[in-house]
Amino acid sequence: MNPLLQAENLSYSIKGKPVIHPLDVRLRAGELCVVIGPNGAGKSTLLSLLAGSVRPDAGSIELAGKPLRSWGAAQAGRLRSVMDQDSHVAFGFSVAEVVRFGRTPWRHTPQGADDEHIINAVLARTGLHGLAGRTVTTLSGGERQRTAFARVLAQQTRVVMLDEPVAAMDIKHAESTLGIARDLAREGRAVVAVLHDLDAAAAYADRLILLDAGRIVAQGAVAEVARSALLSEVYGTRIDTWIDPVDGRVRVAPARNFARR
Amino acid sequence: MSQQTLSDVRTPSASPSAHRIFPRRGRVWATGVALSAALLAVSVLSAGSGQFPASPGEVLTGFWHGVTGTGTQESALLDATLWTVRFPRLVLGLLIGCALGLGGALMQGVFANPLAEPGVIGIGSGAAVGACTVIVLGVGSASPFILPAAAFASGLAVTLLVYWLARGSGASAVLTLVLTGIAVNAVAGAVISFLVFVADTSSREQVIFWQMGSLNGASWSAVATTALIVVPAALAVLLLAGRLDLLALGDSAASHSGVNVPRLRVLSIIAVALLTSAAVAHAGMIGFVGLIVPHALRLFTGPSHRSLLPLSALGGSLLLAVADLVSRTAIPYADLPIGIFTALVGGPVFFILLRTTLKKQGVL
Repeated sequence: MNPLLQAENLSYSIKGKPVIHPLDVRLRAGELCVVIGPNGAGKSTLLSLLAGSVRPDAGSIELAGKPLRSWGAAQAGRLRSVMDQDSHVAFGFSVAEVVRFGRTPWRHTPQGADDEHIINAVLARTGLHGLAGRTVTTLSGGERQRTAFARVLAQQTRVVMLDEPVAAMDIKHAESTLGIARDLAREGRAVVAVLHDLDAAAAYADRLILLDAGRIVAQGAVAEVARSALLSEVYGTRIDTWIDPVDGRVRVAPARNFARR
Repeated sequence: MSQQTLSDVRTPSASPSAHRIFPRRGRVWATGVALSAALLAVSVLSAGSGQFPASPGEVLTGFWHGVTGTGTQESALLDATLWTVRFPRLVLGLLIGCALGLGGALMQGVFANPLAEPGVIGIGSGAAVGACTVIVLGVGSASPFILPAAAFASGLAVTLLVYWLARGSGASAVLTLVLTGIAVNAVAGAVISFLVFVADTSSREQVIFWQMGSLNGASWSAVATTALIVVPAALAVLLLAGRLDLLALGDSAASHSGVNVPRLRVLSIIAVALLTSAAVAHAGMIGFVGLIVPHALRLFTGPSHRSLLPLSALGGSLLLAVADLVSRTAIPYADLPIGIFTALVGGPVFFILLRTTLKKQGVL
C-alpha cells in the first residue's frame, strides 16, 4: 500500500546550521509511528516539516499521493491534523467551542452536516463532557492539552500528527490519550507522535524512529530500536530495557544506581 | 489495562444535548435584541434633545413627515431641524460607532489580543496623518472622497507596519503590541504637530477640533460617503467571522485546521483600515470605542466572532449615540467633542484590561 505521507531527502537548517540532515520518512495507514530522541534532536522540527508549518531546504513531501503544497488549506485540513506543543488559546472559548474548531475544514462539505454529533462523540471519547462548558483559559495545562487533542480528533483526518501530546497530562489521561492514538491507527489512520516517555513509546508504538542530532539513528519495530546499548549511547545515560514477563512487551527505564553514590 | 481505561472514558453514559454544550446561543440573541431596542430608544431621545426639544412622538412624526413628504406649516421648523441637523448627525454617529466597534473586535481577533484597538496600536493616528495632510494642504474640497482616501492610505500603511513590527513575539506579544502602539502614536503625533505648525490659522483650528473627535457639522453627504465605505466593509467582515475564531489557537494551529492564515490576515487588516479611516475621516479621533465594546460583549456573550462582530457593530453604534447625546446636552448651548467622553471611560478600561491580561500571562 502507498504511504499516506511520504517525505524524501528532507533537510532543514536554521541560519546555516543543519537541524535535519537529509532523511526519508514514510507513514502508512494503520500504523502508530513514534518519534523519540534527546532534547534538540530535531523531533518537533521534523514534525513541523511533515505538517507543512515550515518549508524544508530541500526534499519532497507527498500527502495522499500529491505534493503537500498543492493541497489548499482546507483540503489539507481534511487530510491531516496536527497537535502542536502549545495548547494556549487567546480568548475565553469554551472547551466545546475549541473542539468545534476542529470541524472547520469540513464546513460546506456533506460531512460538515454532522458536526454536533461528532463533537459530542469526541467529548465522550476523551472524557471531556464534564468540562464541555468550561472556559479554556481557566483550565490546567493538562486539561488544555486534552482539549487540544479532542480538537484534533474532531478533525477526523487520515493522517494525525501529535507533538508531545501527553507532556502535561497525568498518568491516567496520558494512558487513555495514547490508547486513543493507537486506536486511531487501528481504524486505518496513519498516526505519528513525538514522545519523551520511552516506556510509553515502546508500549504503544508500532514503529519507532530514533532521532539524534537531526539524523535517523534507527527505525523499525520496537524490539529493534528499544535496545539498551543503542538508547544509552544516544541519550548519554544508562537506559535499561527488558521484556515484561506478563505481556511480553518491551519495558524501558533509566538505570538508577542510587546505591553507588 | 489501558484497554479498560479506554472503555471507561468512552462510555457515552451522559450525552448532554447540543444546547448544554453551547449554552451561549440564547444569550447572544437576547443581547442583540436588547442592544437594538436600546439603540432605537437612544436614537429617538437624542433626536429630540437640543436647543429645540421635541418629544419622542414629535420625533417619530417628524421622521414620518420626511419619509412620506408630508407635513404641516407648524411642523415645518421641527421637520427641518430633524432632517437637516439631527438625523444626519445621528446616522453618521451610528455608522461611525458601528465602524469603530467592528474595527476593534476585528483587530483583536486578528492579533488574538484583547488590547488591540485601532486607536491604541496607532492605526487611528496613522489614518489621522493622512486626513490632516489633506486638511492642511486644503485639497479636500475637490471631492468628498479625498479625505477618507488619504486616511485609508495612511491608515493601511500604519496597520501593515504595526503588524510587521509586532508579529511573532510569542509570549511577550501583549507588551510588544502596546509598546509598538506607543511608538507609532508618537511618530504620528509628531507628524501631525508638524502639520499643525506649518498650517494657516483656519486649517490649524480645523485640525485641532478634528483631533478631539466630534460629529459636529454632519451632513447627508458625509453620511453617504461614510456609508459607502462602512456598509460593504462591515458585510465583508461578517463573512470572515468563523475563521477569525481559529486565530485564537495561534497561527500554526489555525492553518492546520484549514484556515488560510496569511490571506485572512491581509483581508482583515484591509477591512480594519477601511473601517477606521471611514470613521476618522468625518468624526476625527474618537478613541477606545473598539476596546470597550468588544470587551464588555465578550464577558457577556463569549468570544465567538460570529456573534461578537455583529454585536460589536450594534454596541459601537449605541455607545457613540449615548456619548453624542451626553456631549450635546451635558453643558447647555455647548457642543463638547465626543472623543473626550469615550476617552474618559476608555482610558481606565484599557488600564484594567492591560493589568488583567498581563497578570494572566504572569508578566505582572
